[in-house]
Amino acid sequence: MLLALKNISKQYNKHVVFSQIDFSCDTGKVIAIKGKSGVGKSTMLNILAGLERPTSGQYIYQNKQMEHRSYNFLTKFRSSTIGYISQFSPMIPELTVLENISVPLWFEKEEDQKQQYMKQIEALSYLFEIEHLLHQNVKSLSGGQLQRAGIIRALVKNPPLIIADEPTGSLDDETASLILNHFTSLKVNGTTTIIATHNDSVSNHCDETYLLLKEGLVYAQ
Amino acid sequence: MRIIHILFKQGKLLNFLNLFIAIILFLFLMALSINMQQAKLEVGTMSHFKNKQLYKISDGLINEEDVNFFAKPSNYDRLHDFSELMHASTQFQYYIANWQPIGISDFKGSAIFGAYYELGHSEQTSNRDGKEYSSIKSVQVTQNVFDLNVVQLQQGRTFDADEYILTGDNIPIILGAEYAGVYQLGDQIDIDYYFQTFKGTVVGIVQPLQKIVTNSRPELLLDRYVLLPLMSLSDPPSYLNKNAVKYPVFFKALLLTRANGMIISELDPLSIRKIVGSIAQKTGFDQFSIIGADSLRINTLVQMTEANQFTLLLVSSLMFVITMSILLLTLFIKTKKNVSTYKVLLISGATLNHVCLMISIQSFITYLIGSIIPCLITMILTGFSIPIFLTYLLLVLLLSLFMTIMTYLFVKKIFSKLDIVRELKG
Repeated sequence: MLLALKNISKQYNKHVVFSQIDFSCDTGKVIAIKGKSGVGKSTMLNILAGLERPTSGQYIYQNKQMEHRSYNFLTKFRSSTIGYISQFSPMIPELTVLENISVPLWFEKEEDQKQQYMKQIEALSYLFEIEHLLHQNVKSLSGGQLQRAGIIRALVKNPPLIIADEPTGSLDDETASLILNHFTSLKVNGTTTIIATHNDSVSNHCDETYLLLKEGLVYAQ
Repeated sequence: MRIIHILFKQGKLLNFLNLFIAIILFLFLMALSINMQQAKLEVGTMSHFKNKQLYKISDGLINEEDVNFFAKPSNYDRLHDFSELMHASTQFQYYIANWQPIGISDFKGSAIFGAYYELGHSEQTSNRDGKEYSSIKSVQVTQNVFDLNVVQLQQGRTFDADEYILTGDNIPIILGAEYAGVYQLGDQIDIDYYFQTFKGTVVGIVQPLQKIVTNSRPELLLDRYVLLPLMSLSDPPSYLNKNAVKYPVFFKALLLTRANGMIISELDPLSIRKIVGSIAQKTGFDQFSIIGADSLRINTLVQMTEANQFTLLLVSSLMFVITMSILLLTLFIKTKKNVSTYKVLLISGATLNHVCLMISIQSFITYLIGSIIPCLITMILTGFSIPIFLTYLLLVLLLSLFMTIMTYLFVKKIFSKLDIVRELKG
């Protein structure tokens, strides 16, 4: 088992987002979390990504308790373990596409590793068809192109866990399919992808689908 | 460094505004440090005179009485003995800072050093032994003038104790700050002092804005002055009879200058009269009067300097609060504007603290850059005064550090308000 949420609850002040949900997954899976807007899909993903801490309950990642860890620890965990993709990938407007994709490498100390990651960027850029845009400023890119650049940035360090919050929301069907297929292809390396979505076509690419309801998380297929 | 470089590239207008505000702030800091240093010096100096009684000895040798008095050679000795005992008294301080122009031949300085420049008179010259001497501002001082006025030198030294004794034609001189660059330490200058020529050697240069209390003024700025030691005679004038014949004006003038000093004491007028009366009786010189001097004027000056110091602090504090508020406001706008960058950094491996630290370092660098121009101005204005420069540098570092910590805490607060982590959802 890669990770597990046990009796997890989250509330902001008095607003309960969800309560007492359980979830677990193994390595090498693509999992969809479906649900209506506002049920807490993003919040659940943020907890898994170490962006937020649960109000109560346990988060176990590879047999390690994560729920009480400091934000600094969680950031390092995120940096080494998680590839985080949001619906609208943020970019540094002053930089080129390549520079934006390379930001995770700024925190990498080993030069050999950096070289390897640069090759990975090149390969993914060809795969997601933005290789011709690498030296352009991000301001000149469309929403879909930016999203692809953001996805490459999340994948560049080969993270074992990819957390994707509506990753294909701003992409055309063909590109969305290309990306989802890539997530599937990563399973052979043991990479797990958890995707929040309300789109059936996305969940069709996944091994397991869970439905997040007000009452809790239920296995859908 | 890469993150800081990017932060500098973002919101260039706001960064320039921050830099501009930092320059303004440090200009005020510069004014504050110069004034504080000066006011501290003045208050320190004046404190030596504060609440003390000042009396002046004024000889009564006028016109015929002067001629009659110096007609007898023994009277030179009487006057000499009187001034020597006055200087040696342990019951009061005998203080002389005598304003008296001197002549300098082949003078290298500009007209501003002329004895009567401030009064609008052009340079005055005189001829002696075939040389032309320019009349230059000068003050002759006793040893305690340096101590009581806390006179600071930028180069060289003050006069040694034995240099206050006339032994030959060589005389050490100390120059005011504006002489820096005109004459150097060790330069030799031909001087005409009370119609006797001396070879003056520059032994020191005073720091800018140094002031002393003189016999005639409560405050004299030394910047354009030549300081000479007010010398005593090594022997009673009767032993130096030959010289006295040769240079009668010099001996007379020197003895009278040494006798017409200021008494600084906490004693009341009656006690002073008693002590000085006994010296007069002992030496046989009694043609003088004791005048109650400028205690009130000096006390007022002390109070004014203290008030000035307080006002300066108040204005500077106000300026500090205003500039701080503007800086924090621009920081707030900048932070909100750059949220997208912080999100990228956060999802790429930076911690929130790391981002706050980078923004703080950027601010620190901005403050340091902002302090360079005021620093250069400080150096030029104060004639490269090391104590003022060090005071300024210390204030810059302390303030920059304080502002950096404030920036760190403020940005952290903004981040928690923005809930930047939840913003990552997009």
